[in-house]
Amino acid sequence: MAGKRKFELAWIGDKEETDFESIQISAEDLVACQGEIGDFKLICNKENQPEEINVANIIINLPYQEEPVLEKADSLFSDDYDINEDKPVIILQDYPELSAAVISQAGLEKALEIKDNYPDKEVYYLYQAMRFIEDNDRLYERARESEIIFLKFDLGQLKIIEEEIIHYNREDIDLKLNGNILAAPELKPAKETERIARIFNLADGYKEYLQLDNIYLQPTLSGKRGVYLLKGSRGPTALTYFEEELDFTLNEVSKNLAGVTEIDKYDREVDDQKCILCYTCYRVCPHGAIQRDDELNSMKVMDLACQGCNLCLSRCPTNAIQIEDDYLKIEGENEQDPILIICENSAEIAAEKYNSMVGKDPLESYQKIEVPCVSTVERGQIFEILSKYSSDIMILGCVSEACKHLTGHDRCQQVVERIKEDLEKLEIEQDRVHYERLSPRMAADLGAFLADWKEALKQ
Amino acid sequence: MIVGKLKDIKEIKDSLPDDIDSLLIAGCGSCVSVSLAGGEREADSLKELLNLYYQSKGKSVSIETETIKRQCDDEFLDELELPVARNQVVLSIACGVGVQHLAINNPGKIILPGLDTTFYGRTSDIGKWEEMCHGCGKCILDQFAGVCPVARCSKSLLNGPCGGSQDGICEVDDSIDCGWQTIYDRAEELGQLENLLDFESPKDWSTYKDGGVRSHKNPEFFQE
Amino acid sequence: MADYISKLQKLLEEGEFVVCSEMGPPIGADPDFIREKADFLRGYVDAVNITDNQTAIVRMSSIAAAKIAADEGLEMIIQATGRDRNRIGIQSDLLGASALGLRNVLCLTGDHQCFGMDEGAKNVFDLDSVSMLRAARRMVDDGVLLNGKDMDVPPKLFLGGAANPFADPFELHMMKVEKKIEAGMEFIQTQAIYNLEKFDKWMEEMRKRGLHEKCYIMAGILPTKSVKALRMMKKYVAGMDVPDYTIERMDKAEDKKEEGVQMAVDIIKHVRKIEGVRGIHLMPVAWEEITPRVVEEAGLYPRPEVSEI
Repeated sequence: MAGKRKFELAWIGDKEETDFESIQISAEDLVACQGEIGDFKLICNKENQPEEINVANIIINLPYQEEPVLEKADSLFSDDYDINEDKPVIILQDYPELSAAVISQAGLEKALEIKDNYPDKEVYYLYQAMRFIEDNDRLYERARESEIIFLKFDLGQLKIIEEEIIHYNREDIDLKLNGNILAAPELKPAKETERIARIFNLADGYKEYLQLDNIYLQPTLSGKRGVYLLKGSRGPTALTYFEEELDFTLNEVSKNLAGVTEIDKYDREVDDQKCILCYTCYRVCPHGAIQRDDELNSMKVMDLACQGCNLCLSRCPTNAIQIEDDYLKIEGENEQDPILIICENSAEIAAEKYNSMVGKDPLESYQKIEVPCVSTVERGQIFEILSKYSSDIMILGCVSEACKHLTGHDRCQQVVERIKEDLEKLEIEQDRVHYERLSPRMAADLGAFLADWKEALKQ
Repeated sequence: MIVGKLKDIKEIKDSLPDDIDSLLIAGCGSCVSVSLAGGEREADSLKELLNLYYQSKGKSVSIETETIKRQCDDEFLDELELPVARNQVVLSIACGVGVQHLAINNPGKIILPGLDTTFYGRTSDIGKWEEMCHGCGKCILDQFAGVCPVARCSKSLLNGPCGGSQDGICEVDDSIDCGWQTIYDRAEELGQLENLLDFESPKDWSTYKDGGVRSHKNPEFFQE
Repeated sequence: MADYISKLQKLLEEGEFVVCSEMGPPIGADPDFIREKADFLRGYVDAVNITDNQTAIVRMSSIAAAKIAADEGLEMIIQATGRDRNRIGIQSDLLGASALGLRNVLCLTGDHQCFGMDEGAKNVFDLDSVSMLRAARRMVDDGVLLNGKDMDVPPKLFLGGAANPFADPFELHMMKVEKKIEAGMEFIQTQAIYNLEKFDKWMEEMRKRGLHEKCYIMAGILPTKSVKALRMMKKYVAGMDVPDYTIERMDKAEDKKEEGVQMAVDIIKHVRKIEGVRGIHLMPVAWEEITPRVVEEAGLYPRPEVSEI
């Protein structure tokens, strides 16, 4: 018997033409997503009939919602706009906020289209910033030649009066423009975005789009391996480089289809006798790598989706998740040395760079715990170290927006704050625990900073 | 489920006897584990913190932890028997039910609470819980579009919002949603607004704590 | 001749535009405190509310204070909230009030105790304002207690309640007003009015539903003498609507006290013209001595004489 058909790629939302064996699923029909990269199971609800679709990769490609910025104006994107015989046409870009770069292109094209069709019409083009991508400079040149009037404004230099008249006041120009306005709409995430975020267990990002502002998620990666974000699901700027982003994404899909490997050699096993299905691991996992194992009635970590941060281990209330790796082991020769807990994606890299720059390991003469992410730091672990060792502890996490596990730095900060609070309440010295944020690039800073700290400790 | 919150560490420390030499921290693996307050992980953290504290005071106190599935049922308590016996004091981080059940089964042992039982609630976000039910003993959710006025209105009003409800926020605190706004919104969605005009007689609270200490039994399990 | 329960009821039924005011009892047991306040109100108002541990702060009991003032010749309105007493306590107090000749009662749910100084107090709220009104109505009309027991001599009470024209959602709060009227409320004293447009809209809805004919509406007026007080109310008092233009007007004024009086008078003049508004309820917080002036300036002085009922 043939196995169930598996698609190479699923498009949630709009579909683009590709060579992959793909399927398009509407965001409204999607109910749940199980499995991991290479073997996702999408549960859909088509007219109340559940349907299960197996796919290897997923691209979420939801449209933007266009929100008009002025009630009485036409949209710059619409082909259906009013032209009044006696009045000029006003193209309004970047109101009230700066528009995405691609809007400059659409605006210029629209202005030229109007000028071509109505050569005698006065066309005003109001903008805060003209963005020159692709052939915008050529369009801009043509527009100037065809006597389109460009008026640049800053906030406060433009007032909309009764939604029809624009009062423009900049330097010595004071104009009241009354004409047909074509305004660039404000772009918002698609209606289903919040639901889709829940289904894929993705964090809401900037302005409720699905992508967080994080260097590890460039350009179209989501926090979940094998799930990609395009256009209106990614963010307000995704329109501008759509073609490039699509190419990148399809290339990633090809690579995935050729085979994917696990992030590390360790298995993270959930003890089904201890797991109470509280879903804490599922909720905290930044990579959507945990799901419920129906057979065992416990949670399970999906090895291909797992990015190895071990946050699930450190947050499980019943200690049900186990790993063979002793990733919290302290390495060092001298028990009197200060203890560093370092993130392997930031401080560790910075230290290596420093070493190759200066020829000296800035981490020598410290005891070290190298962690995949500082979010795995637990209160109990710190208390234990404080009672076993007499030295201070420094936790070196990463900077915001450069955390491979998305929010590890914040989670660690919360833990450190609570530790300090508890120590203060018990009147135990709390200055022994320190927390700093570093980026992998800050090699020189790391060296200087550690030297200073050591000096301070001596005193 | 029953939601709980670990007590302030100072309060826990102060409740422990001065002459303590051994302590068992007893975790509970059900509701309060789900509310991330009374499970194995919290028991371990608490142990390490108290170890650190006694060490800083130069005192020698042996502390061990044991977490069982449920502290509110006899059969699970077997696993605690030996640890309870060999320790001078037991700090239970189960809900108030578990602490007392442990005490009933261990007369002559000091059993202290390490957790504040807060309410019956749901998980509304990671690490966040909301009160949903007061256990009044007579459910009236059918009359209020599925939103409980007893638990979710700060004054448990049955006939509509008080004058302090503004823009869907309760007068008691900005962080509390007005229960009556929630009732109204759901009733509107369900086309049941008319029901809210019905007069609600004062509730019979005899099924609540006002009727005395409560207990009940399932007759299927009892012979004459 | 019609049989009236109270002087207040008589005035309202005779079509008089009524003036009520408010008095907070002392935090203490001094009866002269009440008598002094009664002195300067006498002749200027038709009835005086006595608050019931307002904002959850312990004060002399509303009924005791009302009795002292009534003995000084004032018509009193006792306030009763459900916060501190259960159905047993409230019914008992209503019987007592009637027996003492205190015939007007404003039934309220009550502020939450978090507003006062006893945040740790246990609240009751066994009866809400609607069920309190219904219970009182049955006591008065049918001579029956909530538990079904008949009384030999039922109480005589003229029943009122509060309404907040500014609370959202509008429809939900309107439903509650309807419910109160249905339960037996005969008069309303509204939340203090600053936003006249919103109040007009609320009155319009009351008229549309015919509610202005089912109960007497008294517009709440709160004279103030400072910008700070207005800002505080806007920010901290639940359900208060103080528009920015009101605050601006006070801010610009040189003589704040004088402006406070004028603002109150302006609002009174406005509401007096509204169909369905049958009186005003003055509640100058910590400025009770201004009441006579406001009444005079608003052209509501002298007050009509009421013969004993």
